[in-house]
Amino acid sequence: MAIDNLMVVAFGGPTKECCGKHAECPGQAFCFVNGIFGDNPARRARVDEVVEHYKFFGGFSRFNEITEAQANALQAELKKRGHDLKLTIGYDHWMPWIADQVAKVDGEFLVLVMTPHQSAVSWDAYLRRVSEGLDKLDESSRPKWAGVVDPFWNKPGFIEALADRVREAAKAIKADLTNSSTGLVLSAHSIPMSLVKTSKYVEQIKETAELVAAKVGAANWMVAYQSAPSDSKIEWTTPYLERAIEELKEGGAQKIVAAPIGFLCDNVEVLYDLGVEGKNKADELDLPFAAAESVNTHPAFIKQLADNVEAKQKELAAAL
Amino acid sequence: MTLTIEQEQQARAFLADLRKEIKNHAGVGHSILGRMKTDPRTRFDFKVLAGQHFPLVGNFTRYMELLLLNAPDSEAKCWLAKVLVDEYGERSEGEDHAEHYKKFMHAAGHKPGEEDIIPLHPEVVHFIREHYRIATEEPFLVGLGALGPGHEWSIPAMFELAVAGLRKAGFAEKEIEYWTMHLEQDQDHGAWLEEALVKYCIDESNRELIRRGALLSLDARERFWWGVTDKIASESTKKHLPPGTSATHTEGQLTLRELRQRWHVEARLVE
Repeated sequence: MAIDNLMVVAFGGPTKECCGKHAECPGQAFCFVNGIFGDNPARRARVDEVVEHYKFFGGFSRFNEITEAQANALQAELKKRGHDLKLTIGYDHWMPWIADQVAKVDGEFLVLVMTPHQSAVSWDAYLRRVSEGLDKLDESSRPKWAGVVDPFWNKPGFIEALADRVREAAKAIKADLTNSSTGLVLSAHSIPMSLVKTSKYVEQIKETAELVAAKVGAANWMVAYQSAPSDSKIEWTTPYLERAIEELKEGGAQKIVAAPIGFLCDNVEVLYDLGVEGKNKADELDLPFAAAESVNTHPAFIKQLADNVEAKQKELAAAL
Repeated sequence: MTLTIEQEQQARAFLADLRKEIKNHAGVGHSILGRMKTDPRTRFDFKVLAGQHFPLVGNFTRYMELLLLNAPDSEAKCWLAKVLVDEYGERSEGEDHAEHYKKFMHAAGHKPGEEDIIPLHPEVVHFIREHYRIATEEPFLVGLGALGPGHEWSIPAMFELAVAGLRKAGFAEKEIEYWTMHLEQDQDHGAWLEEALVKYCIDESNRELIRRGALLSLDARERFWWGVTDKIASESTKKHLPPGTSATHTEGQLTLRELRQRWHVEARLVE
């Protein structure tokens, strides 16, 4: 019998709901950002800087709303395929917390990690929260964690969805991706090189980028990394977005299309760091610029998720 | 050496700025520490942290001893010697700091004898290698900057957060004495250090050497904390799931015992 409990885990984003961490709400994403960097005077300037990005979009994020839409679309897709899946959604950095949600799972469950590329600060961090939730429960009430759905950085449905988003953005500024006068920037979150040493994060991003570039026939493209904290002095994955835009211009690009291949939804990092800061850089260089939408609920992406869930269900059923 | 009032004011202003720069460094303000107050860590997390942190504790004395050999005058030697005496255990019931740390490791869940056979994240190895390099290959003032301000002014700030996390994780005060002891001892070391440093900070080139040493150490510290973050996330994942589920791999990671077998640190005569 297939496992019919699916726990969807993701980074999370601030909603209007108060987290209750402070007696008086400091407002507009402060608790969310402070929760990521920690309650430490040394990082207060960075916290304030990032909070401003959230304020630019009204102080909150659509991260959870989009993740829930993705999960619901996945549930509907699996239902069409004959699987009646019970969903639980939890977040690493916002409510409902992953560790609390684990207690609501009844029976054996699978985890779907909502990140395309694997590193300790995304993939493993969310799974650590599942472990933490399980450890809090008595053995008698602890649900059985059967496995994790395989990652999808190079899967055709994910690549197709990304390629579609790139084409839509290119169309908006009448850019011909097959001509080297259009520079395509494929962007992912920068991580410290310390974490690259033990993971395949960079290789996976490179593979996603190569597949997307091939799919759209891009003549002039680059991988770029974004959202590294400005106060860190150690090496993070590069080139940064702004530098990549400069390099593409130096290589002859007259228009820039930027796509968030390392993100699954239009969160504030995508909208601000890519959409606003990327556009500012392009404006500075006098280049027309379009930022692609994230995959969000693109049907090809949702079908890919469903394929991966089904594949894991079958694999585990066969192993019994 | 007697300083003019102006020289002393300049030196102290530089040291005040350096203290501020250190306290705001991302190595001191790493999220793994900052989140300990608000996002409690488990005993298991601290077990993993302890396995990665122990090699730093166990090697610190050696960097200091090596730096002592290059100290240009008795005043610098005195500061280094005073810190070393604490490291050897004078203010911790005769137990050196590494022995003290082992008690914490055992409380966190490590079995006696396994302290030096834990695979180390590459950034842990980098931290140790970088400090041996600084202590033996860089000018004395760079070494002093790294082991002085880079450690003594950053550790109280980092440990204050760690202690809050340890208490939230349920450790008893007796189990975390290594950490609480440092809150007090490193305040003393930091104050002694400031007095020892003043006379070196009267010209720009010396100030730059001290600052460079402190920042080299803190950059290595930031990388170290990322290594610990990586280890905690992957070890927690492995606890409940089969190999291959984690995003991270540990191939080629060396243990402290293996490092000791491979490394030979020496003080030698060069003619």
